[in-house]
Amino acid sequence: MKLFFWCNNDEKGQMHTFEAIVAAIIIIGGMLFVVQATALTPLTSSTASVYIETQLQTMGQDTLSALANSKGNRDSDLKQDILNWDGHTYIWSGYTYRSASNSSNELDMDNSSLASAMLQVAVPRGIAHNIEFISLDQNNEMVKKVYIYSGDPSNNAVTISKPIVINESDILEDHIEEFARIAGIENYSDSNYYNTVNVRLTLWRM
Amino acid sequence: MQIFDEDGQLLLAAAFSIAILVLVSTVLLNSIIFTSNIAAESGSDTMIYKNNNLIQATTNAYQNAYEHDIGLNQTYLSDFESNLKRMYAQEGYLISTRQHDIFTPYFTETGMPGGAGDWIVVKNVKTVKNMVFEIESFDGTDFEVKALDSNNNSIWSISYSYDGSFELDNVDESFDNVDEIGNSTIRLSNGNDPSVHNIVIRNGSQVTGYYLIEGTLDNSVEYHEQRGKMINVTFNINSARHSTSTTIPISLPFNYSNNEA
Amino acid sequence: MKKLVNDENAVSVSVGYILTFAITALVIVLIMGSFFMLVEQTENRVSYDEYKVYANLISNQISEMDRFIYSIESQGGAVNSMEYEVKLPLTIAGNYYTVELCNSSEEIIFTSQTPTSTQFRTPYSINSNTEIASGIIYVSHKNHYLIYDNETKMIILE
Repeated sequence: MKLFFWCNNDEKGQMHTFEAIVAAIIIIGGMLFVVQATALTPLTSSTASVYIETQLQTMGQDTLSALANSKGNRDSDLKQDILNWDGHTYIWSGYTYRSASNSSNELDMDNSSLASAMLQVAVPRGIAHNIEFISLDQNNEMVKKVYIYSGDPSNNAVTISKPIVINESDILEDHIEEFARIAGIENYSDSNYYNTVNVRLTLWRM
Repeated sequence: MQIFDEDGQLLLAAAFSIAILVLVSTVLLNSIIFTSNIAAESGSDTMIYKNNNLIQATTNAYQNAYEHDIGLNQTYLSDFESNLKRMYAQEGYLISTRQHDIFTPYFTETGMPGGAGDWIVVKNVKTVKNMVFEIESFDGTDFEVKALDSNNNSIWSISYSYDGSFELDNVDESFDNVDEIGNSTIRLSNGNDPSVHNIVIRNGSQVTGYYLIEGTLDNSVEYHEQRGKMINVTFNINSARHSTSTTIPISLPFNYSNNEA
Repeated sequence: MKKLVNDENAVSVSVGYILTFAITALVIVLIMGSFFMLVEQTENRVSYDEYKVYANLISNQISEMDRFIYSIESQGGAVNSMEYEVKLPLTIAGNYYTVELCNSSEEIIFTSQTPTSTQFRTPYSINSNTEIASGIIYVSHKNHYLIYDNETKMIILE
């Protein structure tokens, strides 16, 4: 048959070869182009995380604003927390805050309005939180002291900060050096101004 | 039927080319349509919060820096401001503040001449421990401070009239001590009225002066409402994407002795 | 010479080629036509969704500026100036577009610059004494800002 005659005595296989090569090149080129192309679907993941972040941000801002409100002549709750802090880092253990260095040392809820606020607002919703006190030392370097620690934040974490002004007259006369040593917040100036502590709250959903 | 093999070569190559062409144009168009979806900047903007924090902290600082005999302690304020500037610079914000003159406020809700002249100073008052009103200047209409009970009936009232004297209505019965000092200051202490009332000011927009009221509220929480002199402060915040400049009046603590500082 | 009577071909070679090409061309045109129509439909859909996202962004920013101005003025203060950058992409779904703030109907309108333009409108809300100045911006490479002018008490998009 003619078919087999062509196949057997085909001296001019150039066309076949050429065709095969071109076909292969076209296929491979097409595949490469497809693989290099960017996303084929809209990037909608960003909108979902924006909503969560906004919610956490609002919650954190409102909590810190409420605690930083000074009632009448007294210091605000947030300021009292800083002044009463014993310098230890506390870790949430599931039902109470335990000191990192000494696990039998629990945080006294009456002494810490931040902890009781977090207990009411963040813990029931499964929101993890870190609280840090940030201030400048006398050499203008940033000093960060961790108050409450719950681990490393996730991608959707938000940070809220609130600056609190502390005066030398807020601290007991003889205890100024002791306070600087315990809390790690130094006396920034010679006047009545002691320092400004930035209370930084980091919230994220677990 | 004969099959001509060489015809198929051109057709095959053409078919492949068509297929690739369709594929490529699909992918190209897909990329054009969908990749321009820039993830929108994470919604809530922190600029407003930063501004409010700045205003709150600076208000605090000004109030702490005010010493009655010398006015504002500028060392305190400059230390405070340089500290705050560095703190905010770490987060990418440039801030600056500027003081204007200290002035005597009006008896309006905000202290500024445009504020509400009739307003409630303290709500749900149970007792008044101390109350001081000092009038600096008076221009025209009857200025009144009074206590209203839940039916808006006046329990006691103090009014200051054009001839420069206080008129008291039921005040001596409601307070243990009443002192009038000169023609412009009145001090009262230990209010003994048992009912819950609101302390209100009427016609305060043309009178300037200072006041202090402290005592206990109905829910046993203490209150201290006071306004001494005031100062306008301009706040500037600049970041890479936003900039804001606002001027806010800050009220300074009340001076018991002499407010002429 | 080719047989005329016993030829088994349906058509001659040249007619065969012409038919082949004609059919191929027709198939290509049909495929491409329906394909591009599909793509344009998708484009419109995607444009609409994208405009929604950006219009809500602008609306939120206007609300925040307004809330801020209101809170400052209620304390007796004044906002001297305020500038917010609005990040808008140069093209959405491959097309240029315009953003219009309409004072009379209180809406933000996104319109695409194509023959079959898609439009998206969303309302904004202002509570304080400030107003929005009506205007259209043609999105370009330069930065766009929402600017508050204290003299006229208006927010302008530039």
